[in-house]
Amino acid sequence: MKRNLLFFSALLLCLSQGYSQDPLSLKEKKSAGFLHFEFGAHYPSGSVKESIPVRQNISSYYVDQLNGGQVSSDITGWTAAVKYSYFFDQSDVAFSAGLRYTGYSGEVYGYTSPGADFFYLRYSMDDSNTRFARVKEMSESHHFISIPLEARYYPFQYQRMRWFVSAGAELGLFSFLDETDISFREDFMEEYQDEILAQLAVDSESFYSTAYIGLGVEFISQKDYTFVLEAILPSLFLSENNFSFSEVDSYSGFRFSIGFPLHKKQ
Amino acid sequence: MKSNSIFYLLIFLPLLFSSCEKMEDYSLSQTVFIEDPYYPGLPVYSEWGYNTFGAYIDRKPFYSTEYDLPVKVIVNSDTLRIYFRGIMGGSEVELKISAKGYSPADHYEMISLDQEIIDLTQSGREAILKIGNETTVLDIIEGELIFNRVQRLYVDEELSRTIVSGYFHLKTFLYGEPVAISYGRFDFGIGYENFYNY
Repeated sequence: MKRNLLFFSALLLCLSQGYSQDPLSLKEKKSAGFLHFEFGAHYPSGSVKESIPVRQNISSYYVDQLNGGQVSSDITGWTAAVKYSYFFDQSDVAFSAGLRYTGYSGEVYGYTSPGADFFYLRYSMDDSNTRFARVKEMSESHHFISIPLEARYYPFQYQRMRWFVSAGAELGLFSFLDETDISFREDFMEEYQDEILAQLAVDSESFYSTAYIGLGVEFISQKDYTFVLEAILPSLFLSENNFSFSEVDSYSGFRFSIGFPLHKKQ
Repeated sequence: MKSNSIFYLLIFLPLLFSSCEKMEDYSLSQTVFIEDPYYPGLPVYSEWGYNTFGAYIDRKPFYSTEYDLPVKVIVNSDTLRIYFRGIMGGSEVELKISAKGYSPADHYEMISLDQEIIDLTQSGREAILKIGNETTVLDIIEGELIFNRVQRLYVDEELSRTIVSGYFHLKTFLYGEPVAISYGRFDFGIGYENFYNY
């Protein structure tokens, strides 16, 4: 929430500096290249993986239970990118490519009954014995570098604002700093963490790819700087198994970017 | 005055935490009924100790509820008795299956039943069905009680209870006509509160 407020505050500040009353006339609209610095947030939707043996992982079932226990997963992401875009004035289309960093942080949390602050994770099951651990939270973080390829179409312009629809895809180059952690109810269970994670076999795929569509608005200053606010509509993960504890197939979000003109076609 | 407050706090706090400790394992004795999508009205077969059972008596679901203790295991001399207690069509129903030759001393020793199949037609076996206030000793045509998996449960490396999971089915006579108790399944956590040996 704080991150979102920071983004919108930065947007308002830039708008107050860059937005001018002078309309951008058709004569001034020229094909031009821009360098964009972009920041954003992702909100993936998903559920706890079926392969993670959590007792009472019942979010996808209709269940009768007196206690009302449940287990949920929650993932948020943030992005930063540098992109080059070129705007074609004759077709009102822009294409861009660049380099993007995306970081994700996820948690699996829940309770076995109201008043309890843990759920049961089964980490061992052999012929005669089954072992549960009381777990407060399972967390993970993943970081990706990818190449975004995007196209924007600007169907409508008013004064120095123009609206656009966008479509794009990003192809992952590599991932780094993949981490998983289990927070146990009892401190002494920490010594079993490595063994438990090994038993769960919670590896995630390093190849990351998504496809997305968006709607946005671009504000153009008198000096041709652009301030872009874009809403990412529910979009797809093209790659699979990017997360250790959660099954995720879609996400939405928003992005904010500042563009600096590099050259203009005369 | 201040020393009195500290005194009462020292008395109260351990009681508070000890009651929380009991509540934590109490949740393992509660019922988690996940309906089987292929057998409506019956719980899905599981091996989590969800404290459920279900079967069709002809086409009527007979199943455990979250309000009543769904199972009691009673060992008396050399006879094992398992009481399945639930509802069918709004009536309280209890199915008791007895088998001679099985006498675990405590619920941990029920591990000896792992992979055991009890043929209910053999001598020393009995099934009694109680629907409402009416009790019937079943004349069994064929039937089995199958302990698919019996496992000791450790929670945070401490022995807690025994999870007993399996299937049951039988054909018998009820009110003068043949009846099938079919697609029976159970998944129980057997512990202090539902195991008796006397």
